[in-house]
Amino acid sequence: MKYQLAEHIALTEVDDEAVLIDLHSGGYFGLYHVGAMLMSHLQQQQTVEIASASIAEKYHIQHITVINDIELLIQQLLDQKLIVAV
Amino acid sequence: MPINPTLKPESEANELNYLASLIIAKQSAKSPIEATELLAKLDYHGITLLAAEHHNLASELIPQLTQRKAMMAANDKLKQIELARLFDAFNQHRLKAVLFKGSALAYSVYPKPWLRPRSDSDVLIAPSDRLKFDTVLKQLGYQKLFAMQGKYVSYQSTYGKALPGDSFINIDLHWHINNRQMFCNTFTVLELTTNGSRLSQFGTTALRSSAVIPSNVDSVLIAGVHRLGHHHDEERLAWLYDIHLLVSNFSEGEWQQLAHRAEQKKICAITLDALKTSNRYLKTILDNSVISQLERSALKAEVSAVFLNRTLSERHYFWADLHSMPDLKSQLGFLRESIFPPLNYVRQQMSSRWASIAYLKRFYRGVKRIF
Repeated sequence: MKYQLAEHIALTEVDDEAVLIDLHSGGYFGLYHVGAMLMSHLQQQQTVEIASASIAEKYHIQHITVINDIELLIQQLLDQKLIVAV
Repeated sequence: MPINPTLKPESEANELNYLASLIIAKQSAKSPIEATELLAKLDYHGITLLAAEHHNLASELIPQLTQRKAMMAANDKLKQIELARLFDAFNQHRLKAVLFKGSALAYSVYPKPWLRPRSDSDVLIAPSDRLKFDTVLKQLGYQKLFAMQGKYVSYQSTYGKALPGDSFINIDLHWHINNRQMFCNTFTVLELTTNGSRLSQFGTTALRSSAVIPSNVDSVLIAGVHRLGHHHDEERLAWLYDIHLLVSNFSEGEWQQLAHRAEQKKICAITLDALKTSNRYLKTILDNSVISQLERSALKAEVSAVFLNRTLSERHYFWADLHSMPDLKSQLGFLRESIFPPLNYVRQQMSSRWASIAYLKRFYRGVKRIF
């Protein structure tokens, strides 16, 4: 599955973190390390599976654990209308 | 006699040295200042996030700083989008404008634009284009903020616009580079455009805009003039850090150009002071031969050198400024506007319903400033 930023959302990188900005409301959503890394992968049009495999490798964590956490995060981002499925 | 940088009392200098160490050194001594007070001082100098980039500041400040960093980055993104829209509109109307000072530097020499705090974005235009810019700004939803109006007392207007959320952008539209008579014609839009470059040429910039910014050499000269001409009674490390970043990547040619242009514009003494102060607090590496050249040139009497004496009262600067004006007509105009400003401005500024009382109060202030 691939996702991209919703049309009214901009992303800015802050060190190894990222901030998603709602261009309509001015609200913002901070993403720390793993979240920022996930967004970077999604921005490169990679699937969630590839992104999570890459993150699992980087942090030496089991892929299944990462997948579960990332799915939770993806759901949060979808609920907040920050990203949309492509 | 060699010119020394404008010196501060010892305790103040020690504090500046300590705060400066937080943005240039990898390690610094344990903070002699309590965390909340330190934050207030860093904020005053506009270097809080810069210091947080270099050092682990007190742990109790971390949550606040993390929050602030995200907020500044988000806010900056909104401003970038708006600035790009604004400069696109200027270009569409074939209007020449130069983005200068804080915003220009944030997007060209700072590694991350939100490390350079600024309350407004300064834009220089030709005096004859004021009305055209006013029209474009208003078309884009900007409102002109209330300020002193006159032919000589102010060469800038501020336009504000609400952005999404609680964000706000202020554009300071300048039709002369500085409000001081002595410096107002130091640079023109044409000159800055000719020597400057488009912001989109900077590979690292987040603002992919066609806005023109001054060359690094001109930016150093502008920073030197701004530091003493506009803020003679304060020393903020953010302004020195601008100079530090600008000259840190100077080529030999740019150093030569700096000396040549400072001589041409008769601002050697104040440029030298800015460079030496930056060296003193931020250990900025300077070109010794250019410093010697500036020292020699600064010995010739430059009217602008009056600003090196930061303890003078405003009236000294006022009279120096007045004498630098080209003719009697403009001098009289400047005097008149300084003593008798427009009535609606006085009413608002003095927060008094009683126009005559407000006017007398403002008249007294004007006279006190001059005599």
